[in-house]
Amino acid sequence: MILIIGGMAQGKLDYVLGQTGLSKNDVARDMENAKERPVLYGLHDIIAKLLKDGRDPEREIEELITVNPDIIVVCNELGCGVVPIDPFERLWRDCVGRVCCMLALNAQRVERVLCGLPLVLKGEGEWS
Amino acid sequence: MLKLVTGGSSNGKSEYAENIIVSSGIYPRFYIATMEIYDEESEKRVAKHRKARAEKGFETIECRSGLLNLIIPERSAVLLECMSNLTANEMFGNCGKDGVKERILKGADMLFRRCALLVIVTNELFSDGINYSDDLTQEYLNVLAEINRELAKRADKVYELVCNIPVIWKA
Repeated sequence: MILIIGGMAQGKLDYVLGQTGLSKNDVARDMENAKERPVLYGLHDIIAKLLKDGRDPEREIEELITVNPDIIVVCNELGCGVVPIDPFERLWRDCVGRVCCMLALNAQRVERVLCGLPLVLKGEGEWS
Repeated sequence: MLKLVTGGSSNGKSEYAENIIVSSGIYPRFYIATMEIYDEESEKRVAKHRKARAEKGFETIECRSGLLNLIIPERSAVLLECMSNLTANEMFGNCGKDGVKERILKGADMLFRRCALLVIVTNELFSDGINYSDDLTQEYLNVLAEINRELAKRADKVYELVCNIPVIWKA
């Protein structure tokens, strides 16, 4: 699997589509479609939804990468701000951070996109 | 030797910083804890960190503010975690917000001179795109950012942890 992170609106999805030749129809935006499609986009939003529904994002996303081990996961970086006053927002950003640590550990590649440009944090060579 | 570890929340900063000290092999090892415990959530957070350090041979010293008054044995290894808490405590505590940066940097310099290895954990709080309407939060962010920059100048190594992966900014 591949993990792509970065701030909002930095061109993460365009970068993934450019690297893979996939189209937006190949992109899942929820857990259900993520089991079959090659790209999952907006993991941070999905985690928020799972938490609100009282589900366990860490466990469900661990399961997802066993079901779909070649998936490319795209997630916003959230942790670079003042600790939020709202308890749910604290829980959410901590959870997103932990899930991304877990994904990065399992990923063949981790890249961070800034201004549309990738910085390779883990992995070597070209995308296969 | 001073090493600075930064990054967003829940990116593996604590564990990475602990492992720098452990792999140095230096004893004694001190952990300077800065967090005010004011509710169940912070209690849980502290308990989680305590557990992670238990096997690593750290002796914990509580220091909510007044870093300069700490007495640390010479040639020890010290992990100070974290600068964002210490700065907040110092700024909103009894000594007042004037001269916070100078007080903290004096304290850090004192530690740096006494220790064989000093690892400081700080935080990236500067990229959420929010303009805080209260001046105090904005001032806090500015002071912390200035402290981070001064520490990075003094540091031998600066790491940013991203998803548990160290990005080397200064080596």
